[in-house]
Amino acid sequence: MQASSHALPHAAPGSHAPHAHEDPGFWRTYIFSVDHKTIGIQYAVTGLIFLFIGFLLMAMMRWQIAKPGVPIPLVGWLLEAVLGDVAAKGIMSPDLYNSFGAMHGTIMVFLAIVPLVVGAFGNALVPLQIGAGDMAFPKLNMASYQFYLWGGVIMMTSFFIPGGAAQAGWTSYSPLSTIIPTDGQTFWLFAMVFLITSSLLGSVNLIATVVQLRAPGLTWFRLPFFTWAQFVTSFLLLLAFPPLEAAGVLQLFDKLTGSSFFLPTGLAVGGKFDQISGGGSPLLWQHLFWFLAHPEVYVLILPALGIVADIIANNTRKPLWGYKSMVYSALTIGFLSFLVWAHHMYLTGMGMKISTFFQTTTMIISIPSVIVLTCLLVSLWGGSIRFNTPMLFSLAFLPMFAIGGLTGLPLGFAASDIHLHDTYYVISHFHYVVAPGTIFALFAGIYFWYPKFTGRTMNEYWGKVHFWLSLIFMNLVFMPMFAQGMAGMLRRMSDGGANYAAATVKDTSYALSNTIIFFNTTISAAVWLLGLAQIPFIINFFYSFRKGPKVTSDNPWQATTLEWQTPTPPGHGNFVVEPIVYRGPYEYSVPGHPTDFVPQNEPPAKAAK
Amino acid sequence: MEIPYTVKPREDTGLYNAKLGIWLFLASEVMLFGALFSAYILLRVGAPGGLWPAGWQNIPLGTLNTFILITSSITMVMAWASLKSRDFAKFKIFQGLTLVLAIVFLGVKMVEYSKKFTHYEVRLNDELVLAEGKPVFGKVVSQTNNTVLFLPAKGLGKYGDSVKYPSAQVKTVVLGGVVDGHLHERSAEAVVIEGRKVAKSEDLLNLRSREAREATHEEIHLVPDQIARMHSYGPWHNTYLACYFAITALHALHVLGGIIVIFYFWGPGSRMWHTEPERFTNRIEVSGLYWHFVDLVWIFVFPTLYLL
Amino acid sequence: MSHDAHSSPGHAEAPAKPVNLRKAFYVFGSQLLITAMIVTAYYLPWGQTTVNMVFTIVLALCQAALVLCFSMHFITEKKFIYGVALFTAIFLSAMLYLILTAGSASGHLHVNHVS
Repeated sequence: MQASSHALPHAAPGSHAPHAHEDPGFWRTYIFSVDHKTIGIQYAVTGLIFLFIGFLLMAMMRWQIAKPGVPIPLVGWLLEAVLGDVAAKGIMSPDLYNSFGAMHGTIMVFLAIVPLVVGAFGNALVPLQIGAGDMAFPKLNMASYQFYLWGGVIMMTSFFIPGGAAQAGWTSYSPLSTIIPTDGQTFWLFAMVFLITSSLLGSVNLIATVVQLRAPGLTWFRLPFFTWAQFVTSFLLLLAFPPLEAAGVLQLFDKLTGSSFFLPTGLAVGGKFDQISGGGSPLLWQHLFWFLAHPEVYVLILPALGIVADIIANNTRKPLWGYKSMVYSALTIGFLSFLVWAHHMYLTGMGMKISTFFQTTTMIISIPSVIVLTCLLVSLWGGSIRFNTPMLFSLAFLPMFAIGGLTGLPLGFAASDIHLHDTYYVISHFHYVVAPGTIFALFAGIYFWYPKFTGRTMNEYWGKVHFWLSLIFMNLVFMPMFAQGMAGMLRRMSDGGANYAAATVKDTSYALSNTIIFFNTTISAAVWLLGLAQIPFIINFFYSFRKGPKVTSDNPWQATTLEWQTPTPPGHGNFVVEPIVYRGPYEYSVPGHPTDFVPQNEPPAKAAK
Repeated sequence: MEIPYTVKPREDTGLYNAKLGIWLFLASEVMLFGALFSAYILLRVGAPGGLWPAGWQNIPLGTLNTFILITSSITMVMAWASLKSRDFAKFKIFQGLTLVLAIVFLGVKMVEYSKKFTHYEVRLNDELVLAEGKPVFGKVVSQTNNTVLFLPAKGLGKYGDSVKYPSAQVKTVVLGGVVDGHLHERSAEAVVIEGRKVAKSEDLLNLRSREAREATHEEIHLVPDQIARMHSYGPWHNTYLACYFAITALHALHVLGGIIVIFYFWGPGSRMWHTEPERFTNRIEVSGLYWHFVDLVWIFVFPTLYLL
Repeated sequence: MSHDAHSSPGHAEAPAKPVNLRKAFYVFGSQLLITAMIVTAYYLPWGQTTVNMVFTIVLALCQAALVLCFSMHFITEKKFIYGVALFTAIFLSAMLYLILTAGSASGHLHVNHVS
């Protein structure tokens, strides 16, 4: 349906923007650009590549889990050729398994998801949604991307050094991470310093942008929920990352200078006392690490909630139900996320008072999360739902995030966590929130905003194929893991639990049953099929860029928010005329209005009958 | 569309963009140093009683550095005030003074660090004075009425296979102590330390005690076989020093960053004064905020690490 | 002596706004004085007691307040920045407190006497 109200005059093709300047050349335009949209696309492409690499690592690990000790088909020879002894005869050794596992986590969290949700979506869309010409500090933006890119390069390089990449999990617990004699962990720490710097600069930029550059009339409670989510996320990044940077510096000291920040007195390695000064505390690392890493998971989910909220409002043709509650909940989640970190540490012997404190805050933080989810669900009631690809992903996000969130509750109670800690149950819980959770939101966002940035739509049919296959296979991958975890199967076991299987262990009262072990095979198969299911998406993404059907309007989804009121794609400076905002972000189906949506910047006179 | 509020503040926040940006950045820096301080406090509080070093820093040098940094803060304010009064020449003077003071701060820090790296704690091997022949150095494994089981030293920290000495052969057993002081000379034949000898490492912890302050320092000559372990006072030595180096090194890095920025605005960047004076003044204000923060961190570092 | 402002053509003549420097010198003087007090207290016979520790920390906080309020002219900023600072202060205190109480085995915060 054609949009009939087009409040913003946009420059005809061929005319130049208000302040014309000479062509900056290839390097300044594509590599060292200061334009937030280009930088957003840079983040998106780099992030998607890392997402793919992280997935490949797990795909190879899943072979080892399902068939321990069997050479990996197709790529085993390549691993051996490139990595040498750790992949002798194409079999993934336990050391290589640990290394892949640690890097899978690190790459997915720090190199893929956060750059995608914050660097790509945040950078590209927030200035547009608030009616600004760019971010507050464009050069800082470019620096952020470069720090991210080179941090990622350092991380990837660590695979190829003698001894390989970091092996002590993405959590890098000391003393293990310090005493492993190779340099992979050192590379990891240096790369993390780069990545943290990138995040810090980016978050300063985003907060300053939202505070200072909102268009006239765009008050705080007229901001789209997507921008609110990005704003809270940036505060989390700003305040939570520095303790990890401090911890990283201290661990670097331990590795490079022989200090003992995290190494306790009397540490024995391989049966011999280590020549260290001692006096350190392994718990200190855990505290500093989780002080970041817990807010980090809210960094992973809040922008996803933002994406889903905007898409749901648009495709139900209704305002979001409980917008204000959602905003307050997002702020509360942000604040509380700093007070729950030790629920990752229930089994460290903290003492009852502290343990109770963290259980309480963990339970409390589930309340605003449920409020947001409930508001999104209720927003569907009475809507004229359009089941396009972005909406399908957004709809599926809701139950998937619900499963992820609800399964977190037994982990939040120390008593039940004693049984479930460090099992596959935990893996399944957090993957449900991030994989069919955040990643589905990312897919939704890509399909939704693709037309604005490229001027073409992605293919709907293949989008739906991508959706259904991904949904089915994601669940086939992660649902059985709950059972495996509850049966006692621990994380990070390179043989897939074969040592504890009923077939191996005589006393079968605690052994893993044949069914549980068999799930390893089904899960692995589902992972590979999930990988294949992404092929339509990848082809669609690149093909549509050149050959997809062109959009006939600047606002193909008939949306109300400001990013749709620009030329397609938006030029340098985004808006030809500074927009003035007159109303809230989700004025859909306003009674008496000729169209079922009213853009935020449409002057009131036109809105009246 | 141009980016607004780069120079003139936005009415409802009262800030121009860069000022908000620097305050946000400083908030993250507070978390960074806060994490380091909390790590220090945790390690200090968790250490067994009486086993934490005291008085290991040079207070006069630390006080000097504190005065230097405080003064540089004031010259920074004067530089900004000069720009507000449209006096570029005075700005150049005060900015230059700030730069010089900052560099002197780092210089004093280098002196402190080098003193630590030349200060050694040498743990000595046990000594067996034999009835005949030269004394042997190494580690006493066990001692009974009849025999002494002994590991002979073979260079720094290395030992050969155990040797049994009948008691008749052994005149005295001298258990190794600890020598502590500054290194004068180190070669394959001898190690010369100017310092003192104590019975065990724990005696070196409290330098504020009467014994420590009244101890005489002398030149002590050692042969390599006498030395069980030799450590300078670096981050590897104990947790207190590790914290000291981590915190002051990170602070010094921030000072260095500040020096680069201050130099840039004193030199090449000052050209902006002639084209956009108000924007340049804002830049000095923003870098001044950063510099005051660096001073602020030192105000906490000095008492915590030096005095308490 | 503000001749530089006149020498380049083509930019708007903004009026000179001199800053009151007397306050800055009072702050400077106070900082030096407080530092001297802290160091002197260290050398006095009561130097290593808990009382002195508290005294030193309180004085350091005073110095910090001086820097924050006057040198960084925090005191002249609008309410919004106070919010940012307050948030940070809360997080920092929470983190410090929780790490310390969670870190020690008994769950209680205890201070070792400095011998």
